[in-house]
Amino acid sequence: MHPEIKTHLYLPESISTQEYLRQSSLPPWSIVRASIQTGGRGRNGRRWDSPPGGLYYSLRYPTEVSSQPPALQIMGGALCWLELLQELPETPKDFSLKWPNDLLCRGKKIGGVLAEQHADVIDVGFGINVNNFFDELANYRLPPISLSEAGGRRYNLDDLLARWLEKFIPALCRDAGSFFSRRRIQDKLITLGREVVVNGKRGKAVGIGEQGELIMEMDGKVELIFAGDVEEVQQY
Amino acid sequence: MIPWQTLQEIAQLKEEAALTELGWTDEEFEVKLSSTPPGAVAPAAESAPQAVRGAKPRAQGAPAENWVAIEAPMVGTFYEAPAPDAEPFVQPGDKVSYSTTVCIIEAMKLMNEIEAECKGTIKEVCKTDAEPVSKDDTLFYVDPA
Repeated sequence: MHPEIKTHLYLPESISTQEYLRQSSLPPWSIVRASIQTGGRGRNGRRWDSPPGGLYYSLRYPTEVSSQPPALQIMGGALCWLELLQELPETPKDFSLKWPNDLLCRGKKIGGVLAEQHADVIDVGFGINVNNFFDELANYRLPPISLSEAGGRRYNLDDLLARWLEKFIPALCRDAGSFFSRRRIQDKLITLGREVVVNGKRGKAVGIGEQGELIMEMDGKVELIFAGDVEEVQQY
Repeated sequence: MIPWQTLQEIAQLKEEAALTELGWTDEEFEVKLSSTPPGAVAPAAESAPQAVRGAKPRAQGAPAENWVAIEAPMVGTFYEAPAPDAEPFVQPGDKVSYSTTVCIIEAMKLMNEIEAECKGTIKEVCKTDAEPVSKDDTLFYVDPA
């Protein structure tokens, strides 16, 4: 485990690792991982399926370690995942980000992130579909895919998490300015240049702003979107 | 001295006529009565609550002068509870202190816990759950008394 990590909890089952951290008094640089989550949630309280085989964890770190806007830090965490997945041998390379924090593989959802900022810490939680499979009859907002499905083999969860920490923590602490740059994130955002619908409004996604907000052109005007779900007009 | 029966009759008259003042002088038996004309506002008693200062009932949405507004520090989506099936962080009547979490504002999947940063009693929740908010929107009114 990364030397910065002070506490590493492994739970066979948890309602959600984010919920566990919220109710705990664990210090910064704590990580909580669960084999399954019984109440994992995404944005707006949506259910996040967490069957066995996936990698579900939350990292608590102090807000003081980075001067970058928190949303860009979180997107940087997703970017670390994207780079890590692309480095894996015998694994497809067509990974991308969907604003604000979905990880896609071949246009399907392979992971997601949710974060909470408290007074002096940020809890960032990831759910990555690794060795798990999905109920084909279930109705998902975005079709899911796992790394095993994409790569045709099983992956070691401990190894993946350790490699992600090796990427994310140094980037967060020492190299945040360049790693979390908007340009770097924009380069991987599949959302940009596309016709999308956000909060019921249709327009073209053209970039992300200083805080990580989505910049959209709508009827000749520029609108900044800070919260909402991006629905693609075309399939990714 | 004013006869007891007369005093009772005057008191009854005061009530029936909605009189606001009643005076009397002994020996000469001088009585002074006055009533408030329609539409005029009766003077508030000393124990009247501050919230009705100015002698007008508080209109819906208009805070009392001494209430403190908790404003949104950012653009995002307002959430009154940590989860859809959970109890709200605070409700009218709840006591809060500076570090009490009163709501969450979500922006770009980052849930920001918003603290009261003041002390008092929640008087009004100004937003509904999952409502979009702009920076500096009033989220709550707090009575610091």
